[in-house]
Amino acid sequence: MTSIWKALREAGRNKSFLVGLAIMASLIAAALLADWISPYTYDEMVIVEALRPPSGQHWLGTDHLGRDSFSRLIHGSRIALKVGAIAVTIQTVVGVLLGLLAGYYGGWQDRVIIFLTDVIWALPPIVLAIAICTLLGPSLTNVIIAIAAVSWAQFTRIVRSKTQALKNMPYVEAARAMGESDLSIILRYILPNVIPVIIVLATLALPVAVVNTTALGFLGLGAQPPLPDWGVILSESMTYIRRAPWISIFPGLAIIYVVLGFNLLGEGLRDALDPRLKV
Amino acid sequence: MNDLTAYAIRRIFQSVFIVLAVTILLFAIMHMMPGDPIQLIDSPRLDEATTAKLRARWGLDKPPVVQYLYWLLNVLKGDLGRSITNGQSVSVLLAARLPATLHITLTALLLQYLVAVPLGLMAGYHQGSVFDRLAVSVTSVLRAIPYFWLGILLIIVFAVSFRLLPVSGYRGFQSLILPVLTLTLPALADTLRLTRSEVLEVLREKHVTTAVAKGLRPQMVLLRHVLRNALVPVTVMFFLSVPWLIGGSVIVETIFAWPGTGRLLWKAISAQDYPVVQGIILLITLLTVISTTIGDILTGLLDPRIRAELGGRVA
Repeated sequence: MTSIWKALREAGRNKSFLVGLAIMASLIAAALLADWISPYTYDEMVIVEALRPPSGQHWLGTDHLGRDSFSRLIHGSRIALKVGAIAVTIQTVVGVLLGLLAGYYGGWQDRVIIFLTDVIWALPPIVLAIAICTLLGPSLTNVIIAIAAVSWAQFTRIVRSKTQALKNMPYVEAARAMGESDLSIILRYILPNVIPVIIVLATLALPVAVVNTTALGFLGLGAQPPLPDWGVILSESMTYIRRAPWISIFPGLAIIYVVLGFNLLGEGLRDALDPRLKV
Repeated sequence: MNDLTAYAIRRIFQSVFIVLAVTILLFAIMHMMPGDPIQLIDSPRLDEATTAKLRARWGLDKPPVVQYLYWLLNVLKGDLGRSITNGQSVSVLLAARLPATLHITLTALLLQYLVAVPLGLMAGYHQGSVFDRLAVSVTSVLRAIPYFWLGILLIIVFAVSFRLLPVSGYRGFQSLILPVLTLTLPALADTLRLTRSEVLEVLREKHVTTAVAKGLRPQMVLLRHVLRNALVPVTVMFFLSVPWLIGGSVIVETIFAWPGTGRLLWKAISAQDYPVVQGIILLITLLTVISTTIGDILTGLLDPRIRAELGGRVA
């Protein structure tokens, strides 16, 4: 584990990593402090003030129900980060477990798991996510399930190939000769060496999860109004695109902010932890 | 039979199994849906006996495995069932919608490669130049833009502010521009970056240094050594990017009211028209698996290093 701290210190000298870190910190702050930062609540409707352009009173204008766009955007970061973080955690745990299993044991376990990843990859991720949400019904919980279900395979494939390489290392063979159990070998010798890759993959998976969450919300399959999910705001704004285009602009910029931030963070981590990893 | 043929045959078999697994999955999902088509006929004149007769007639009283085999047989004959909402044949519906989808996806794919590959080559060959740095920063931004928002942004700029192009619909060349741009731009950024990084990698290899040292003209080095090697992953990516393009087209067609399969999928989902959803997903699976299989086989065909891995010797 000391090597990870050393690598993190090295990443600290990387400019894009630091910018990414700052962006992530600002997002987490916005999500945690949403109730204090936003001047209005996200569902407070003042119909007479509907579709106002940005002004001193409403920094980013108001939507068709007279709700403050800035407050909705800030509260939306909560949904994006929460859904993204939970989905990424689930896909990481599932993907890593299956990858360790397939890589360490090989044989039929490997063949079954690899076949499963192939089946998952037989459909474009967003189409599979749409299918799952249709089946389970629109809700944020189902969005989390759908996103985790379409994204674990990448973790499995990469962890599997790392494990295959590691299990033939002399120190692993030595441990096996000493009579250590498989579980103990995986936990003590293999997993610690896979963790840097997992950190990079999970960081880069978060923006993908956020984009998919908003895409599902946009299609009406995710968060439901009046929740201020960025995708929901975008789909509501489409009706007023001629009269109030500003409603459509800002949620997109927020998504770009998240994607850029976590990509910079992930790429900085990759350069520090595992430069040869191609993701 | 050489190694590559053996690999190709193995890969094709594997794809058939994958598609079969997807059909089982799709059938199981349809089976798990609450209620069967007979229950959906909400008529007071329907008594127990008639229900049972109808079930028997449509084979719904048979065990699931038999029902699956019947269904699979029908699918193989091209019969995907009928839409719940309007009773139309799903195959006919799909056949009517597919051309519009192919129209934008193929145009987008073509445009993407025609623009991205030359620009990527140039950026990689002149690494660190103004052009290269511009290409890198523009593509970084493009890759961060969610494509459904890109569509909305393009509508605001070109259709609402300048009134140059139609907002949506399927009327001639002008209505093609915005959906195609929305699909192309993010993918174009990816392809440009891939081409650029492959060129950089090839330029570092020894045979290129040798060619330069031999006194070969730069254009010849670029054509004979760099281009040939760098384009292998780019060609393979052409086929592997099809799934992303199809996924993107679902959302792009929804934004621009483009009458293709993607919009049909979205409408069928809203109407809970499961046979149509099932048919479209099956079609998309087939397209995806075919293109990734071609991509994998091409990798073996074009890249001698992978060919060597397949059989342990260079063919």
